[in-house]
Amino acid sequence: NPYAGLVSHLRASWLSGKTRPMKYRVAQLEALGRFLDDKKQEILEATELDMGKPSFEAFFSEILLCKNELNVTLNNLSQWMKDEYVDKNLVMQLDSAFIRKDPYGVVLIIAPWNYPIYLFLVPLIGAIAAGNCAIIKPSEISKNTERLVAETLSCYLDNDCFAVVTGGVPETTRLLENKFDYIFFTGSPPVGRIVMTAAAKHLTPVTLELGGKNPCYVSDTCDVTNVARRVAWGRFFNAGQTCIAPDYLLCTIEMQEKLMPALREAITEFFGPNPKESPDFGRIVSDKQFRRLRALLSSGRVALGGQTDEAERYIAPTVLVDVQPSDPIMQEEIFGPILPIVVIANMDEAIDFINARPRPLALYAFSCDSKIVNQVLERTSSGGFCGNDTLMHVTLTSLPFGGIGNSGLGKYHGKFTFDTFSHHRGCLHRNMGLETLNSPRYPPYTQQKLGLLTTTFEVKRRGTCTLL
Amino acid sequence: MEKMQQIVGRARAAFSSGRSRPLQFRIQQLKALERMVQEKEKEILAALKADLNKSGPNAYSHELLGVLRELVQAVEKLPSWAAPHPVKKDLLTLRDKAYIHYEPLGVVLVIGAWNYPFLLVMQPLIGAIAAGNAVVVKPSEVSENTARLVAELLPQYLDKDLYTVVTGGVPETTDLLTQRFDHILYTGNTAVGKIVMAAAAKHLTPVTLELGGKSPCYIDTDCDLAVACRRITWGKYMNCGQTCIAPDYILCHPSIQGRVVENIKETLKEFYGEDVKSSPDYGRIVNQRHFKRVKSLLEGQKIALGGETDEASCFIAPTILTDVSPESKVMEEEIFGPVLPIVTVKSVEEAIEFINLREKPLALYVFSNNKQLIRRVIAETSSGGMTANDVLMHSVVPDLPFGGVGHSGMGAYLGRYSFETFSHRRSCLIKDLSWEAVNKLRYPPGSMEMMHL
Repeated sequence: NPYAGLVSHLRASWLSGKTRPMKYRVAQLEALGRFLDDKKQEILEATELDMGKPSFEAFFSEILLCKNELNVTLNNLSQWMKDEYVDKNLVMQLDSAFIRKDPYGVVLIIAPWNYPIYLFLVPLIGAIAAGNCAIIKPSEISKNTERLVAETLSCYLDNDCFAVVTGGVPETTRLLENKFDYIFFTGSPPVGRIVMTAAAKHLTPVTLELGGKNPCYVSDTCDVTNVARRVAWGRFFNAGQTCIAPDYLLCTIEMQEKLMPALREAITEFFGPNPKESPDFGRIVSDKQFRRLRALLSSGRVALGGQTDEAERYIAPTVLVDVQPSDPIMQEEIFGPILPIVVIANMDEAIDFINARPRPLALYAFSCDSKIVNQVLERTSSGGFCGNDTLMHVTLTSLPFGGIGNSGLGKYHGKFTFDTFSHHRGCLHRNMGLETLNSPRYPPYTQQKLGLLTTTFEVKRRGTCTLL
Repeated sequence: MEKMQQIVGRARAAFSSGRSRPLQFRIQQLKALERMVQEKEKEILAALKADLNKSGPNAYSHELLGVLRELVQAVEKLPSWAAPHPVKKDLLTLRDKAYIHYEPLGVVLVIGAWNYPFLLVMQPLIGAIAAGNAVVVKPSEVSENTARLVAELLPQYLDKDLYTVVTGGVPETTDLLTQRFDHILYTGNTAVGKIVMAAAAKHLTPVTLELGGKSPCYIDTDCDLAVACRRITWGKYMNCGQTCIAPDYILCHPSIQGRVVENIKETLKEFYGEDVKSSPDYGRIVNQRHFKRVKSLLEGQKIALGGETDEASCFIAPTILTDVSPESKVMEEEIFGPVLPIVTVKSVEEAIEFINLREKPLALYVFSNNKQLIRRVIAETSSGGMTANDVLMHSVVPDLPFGGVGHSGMGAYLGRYSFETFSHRRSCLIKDLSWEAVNKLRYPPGSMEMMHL
């Protein structure tokens, strides 16, 4: 296996214990910070070449949000690393019971192309903070960023403990044959299945950040202008190539009539009369994706946008109406700047529509009536939920980010990344004395001893009744 | 295949009805389980005796007590576990509501093991019910009396559609695993763990795997050997060695090996009397296949104590092997029997190296008066869990997660951890539809000045 040597080299470094001390981890994390600072311009340029990512967006997601995660981690690392002491029962008062955070060992992080820095760097922050060694596999589709990461990351991180592997499907397949102690994968559900199947051979735990069609329900009682802006922002950010973008809109025909001019106005406000000329609107990452998206434009009817330019891989911010649930655009995650509107009669129908489909990564509901927002939340299931906005729930590092069902398993961001990459080991340090306290547990077993055990383990419920 | 489809389909329909969501319903089901354990105590103990020759007080304290504790804890703590957890907000979200919303996953599968056959289906079941799921329970067919009893009793006490028991062996389990579940908790061995995870991968189903391994037990020269050996004897020979967290083998300095054997010998007399075979408190190997497997581990070994076997009754005497070679068969696989090999090491460094060359175990034990040494062993090794100066006990501390790492498993449960394992932690951010001014900062057209804000 072409990567066996690399993996065993990292494993040897891991066994040497070098990644354990907090000082080491902090030094590596600070180096990552310097990477972001030094290479800021190169990152903006590479992502622009890869998918026409507007500098503003690139700075926001690839630099700012990453720095945020880095700072939260550096500020809290010593707290997170500490043994967590837990409550004890009667017999263990002289003992100490705690949860130790053990690193796993050598971890693999596989990143996709749409937020190519963020989606390897934020998991890597947690992996380093938790004391692991890591192999990073950036996406070959965002090839400029891939080259940048492969060539420059090694100048910042300890090469004995961290490595970048490049390549496509064949290389990734061979890489996955090796034994890792944790695999963190961001990408599509079909590939997620492949990764988990490969992991099963070695009993490697995984986090899978996948995707799906994120529904966006807009109720009849809402501030149409603000809704249009927030939905348009979320949909057209990165030319729609965002796993948590609102994928399709559900609303009544009356709301659709109101939304149309508001959406037109929001798009013009954001990108001017000709979005193709705006520096703030991105491009599609590849010809293959462009052609896939262009084909989806035939679903329903184009109400806004619809222009395309193959040479530039440009697809205009587009809104489709008269979309049927059976249309092609409703069969797959769109991952492009196209917003279909599916008309429903009322909230109940919207909820039934959502629940008849695989559970999404994100779910959005817009209403001035908080009861409606709550109802949608209570009666559906999704990785995460945002009421009256889009995307923003993932910028708060205290909220765990992850999917459910087809949209993924596991979660990260903030402390959750650290927890993802550490094994929580239950530890009990007992006293060697007080052996008489142990005697009820030893054979010969008697009813009397059993009575003592029952009492000391506090099986009887405190109080006589529990009121709900 | 069709039968399994129907069973899971029925559970899913029951879950979709929403009736397992209200806390009141879940608590009512948990209390029904409590009544079941109390009312059917005799029947449960009889099944455990038939399956594993566990005596009354033994079976009660090792299985029923643990189940009752989980039930009491779940009923008491459920309201606080299930309540939305507000999270710390930042500048941009100060005016918003941000919290983690606990939700059931859907239909979960619990696959039990045969060594603590009642405990190992009930404890996960309790967590799954508490978290609001529908549950399919598959007890181990090896402990057939307990499996049959669980299949009889659960429908008498619990909602029949939400909670189902499926019995059977490998073919039935394989069939069951082709269905889609929203979580699978499997207790058993490493080989089958891989099969379960591979089946789960097809549906992207998260798994909790409680597996096994060889749990090392290091005895330092600086320790109260009599106490250490008594505690080790208790944990090793309980349930005739068939405990996933039993101390599998001992590592110690050659100079104390003899005394370790002597101390264990004395303790065994204290526990089981002069004639172990006639003690009501000493168990039997679960079946012929495992009996033959454990017996074969004795071949070519230096037997310092025990070694007697009786195939007819699946009896293997408490046995100690000394000067065991690391390459021998008994040091390759998890023993899961009353055979205790001692491997001598010259120092704690050697012990740590020995442990780290092998797969990560489910449990790890170290006996020493030296706190520094204990801290060092913890820091330089990894294991599912560990106890210093005793064995098994970390698994009964209510707030410690119980689970493996590496080949000994993934995920954890018991107490609050069961609830979290079987729940989806959904992030919720609820904003106001007004206050658009703050949002303007993020909208295009963007400018570098905005970025520096």
